[in-house]
Amino acid sequence: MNSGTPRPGYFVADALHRLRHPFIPTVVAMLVAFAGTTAIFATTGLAVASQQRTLERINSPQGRLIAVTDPQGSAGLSPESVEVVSNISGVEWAVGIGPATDVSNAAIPGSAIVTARRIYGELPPAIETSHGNQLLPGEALAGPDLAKQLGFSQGVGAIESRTLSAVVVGNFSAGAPLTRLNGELLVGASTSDSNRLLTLWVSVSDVAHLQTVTRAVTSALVVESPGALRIDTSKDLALLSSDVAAELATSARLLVTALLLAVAILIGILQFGRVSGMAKDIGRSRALGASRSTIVLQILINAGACGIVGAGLGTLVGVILDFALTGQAPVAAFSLSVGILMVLAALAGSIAPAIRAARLDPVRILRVP
Amino acid sequence: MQIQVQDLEHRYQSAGSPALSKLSHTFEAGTLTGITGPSGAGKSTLLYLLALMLTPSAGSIRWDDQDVQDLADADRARLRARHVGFVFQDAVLDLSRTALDNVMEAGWLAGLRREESASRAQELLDRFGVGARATYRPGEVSGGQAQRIALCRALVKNPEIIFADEPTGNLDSESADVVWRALADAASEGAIVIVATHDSKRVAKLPNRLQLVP
Repeated sequence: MNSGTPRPGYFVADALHRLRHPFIPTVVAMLVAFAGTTAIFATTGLAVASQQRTLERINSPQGRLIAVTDPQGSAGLSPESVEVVSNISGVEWAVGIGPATDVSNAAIPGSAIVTARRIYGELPPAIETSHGNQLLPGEALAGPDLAKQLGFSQGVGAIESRTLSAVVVGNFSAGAPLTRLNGELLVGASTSDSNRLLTLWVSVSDVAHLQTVTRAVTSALVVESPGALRIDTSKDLALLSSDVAAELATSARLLVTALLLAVAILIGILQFGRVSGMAKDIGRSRALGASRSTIVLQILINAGACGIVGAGLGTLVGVILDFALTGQAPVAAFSLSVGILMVLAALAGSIAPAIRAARLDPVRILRVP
Repeated sequence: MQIQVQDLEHRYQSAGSPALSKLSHTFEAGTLTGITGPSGAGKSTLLYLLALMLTPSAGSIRWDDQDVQDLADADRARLRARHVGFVFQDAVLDLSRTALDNVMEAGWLAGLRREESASRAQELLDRFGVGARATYRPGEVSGGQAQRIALCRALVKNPEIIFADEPTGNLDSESADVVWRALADAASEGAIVIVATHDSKRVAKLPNRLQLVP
């Protein structure tokens, strides 16, 4: 029994046929989509990559650091602040440092004196240790070469001062932004002890969120005299970061929109030409029972197929081009979005020709004068 | 099946006088009706109206008990795809497709499966003596063979209604005989066959005739 409605297989076979007949408009439409896609990668893609590198430079460990300091030692900044601040969204890590104390080798009276500080909270990734990232109260880590200065031939031993005693269990090396700790001993301490912090360092996960996180940290601190604290951030870097990101977004959007529009218009013109050239075929199909929606679907499938092939090849070439020019491939989301947008542009440009094709009067086309 | 028209009238937008005026007639299943008349009498217009490719300016068209003249485009297309075979004066084949694909297209639009459509198409091409040209494109066959291919296209879905608009106008007498015989066979198998033609000699031999005047 004839249903009067074409099966999906018809559309697939018809689309494949119409990609080959006529061949030249198909190839030109694919080339337009290909050129548009490659152009986006060659312009916006490269701009995105270079601005991404700028952002990465801005988004350095130093740029993401908030330093809360008690310069007079009178603010009463509690070690509990470390735990509280660590739980704030956008905080990558937080670590508290106590005032400096002079210590020496407990086993050798009159040995070299070095500076030790209590450290509160988990050791941040910037501190590499031979001991893991947990330092228990009473354990200490020596900065580079300090164990030798203290006379620990095996790298371990006891240290003491009037107010502090601990066992050195290993060593550490601090990278940016905590390199200033490298000449000191770090002594593990509990965030619930009654000592006070000299400095609280907080690293935010993204420099763009620096100001927001700084406000949250400031309000969350456990401190007796907040006015006595000094808070240092790379505010200018944060502002530059958001400026760069905003400018990138605006210019990229404008450029991509212009290219997509150009592709849609060019493919639309091509499709209008195609529709005019195949008017008799459209009239015959209508007489044989193709509905207007079938005609629209046929035109859009053809445009979509041209878009997919052109945008697919364009994306491939664009990714290779960006990689060759910048040394890194564009992020997958960008590449995928460009491809999808290009196919949508091809479809959008073909809507008007498809509607025109569907509205062609088959009687006028088929009648022999 | 039966097609009934009542006071059917059609006026093209650009024309002053109607192309078809106040026609009432009934076309019965199993009949071959010849429509004759001078150029401009409305023969083709009547076929296109009956095939639901035009909307009448006035009057009604009934397919069995259904008024079809005011149906939406999608419904008209579906009815055409299911029930109608059309043979045009020049074959109107797709020049980029083979003869077999041209015939199959009508089957596909009617919703037939590919295999079913292909086997019926090949069967018809064989029956009308163009089976060996199945893989040829229209540009590679003669006018008579092209019209036979077009006839196969009209018959591939076993339509209940066949319209033919000057189907033998460009053919030699041998090819014309083949076409007329095929149309008569379709009518004898139960289809409504309506042929618009200038060939008054052939129409004169038909039991069902409709003479249109401008």
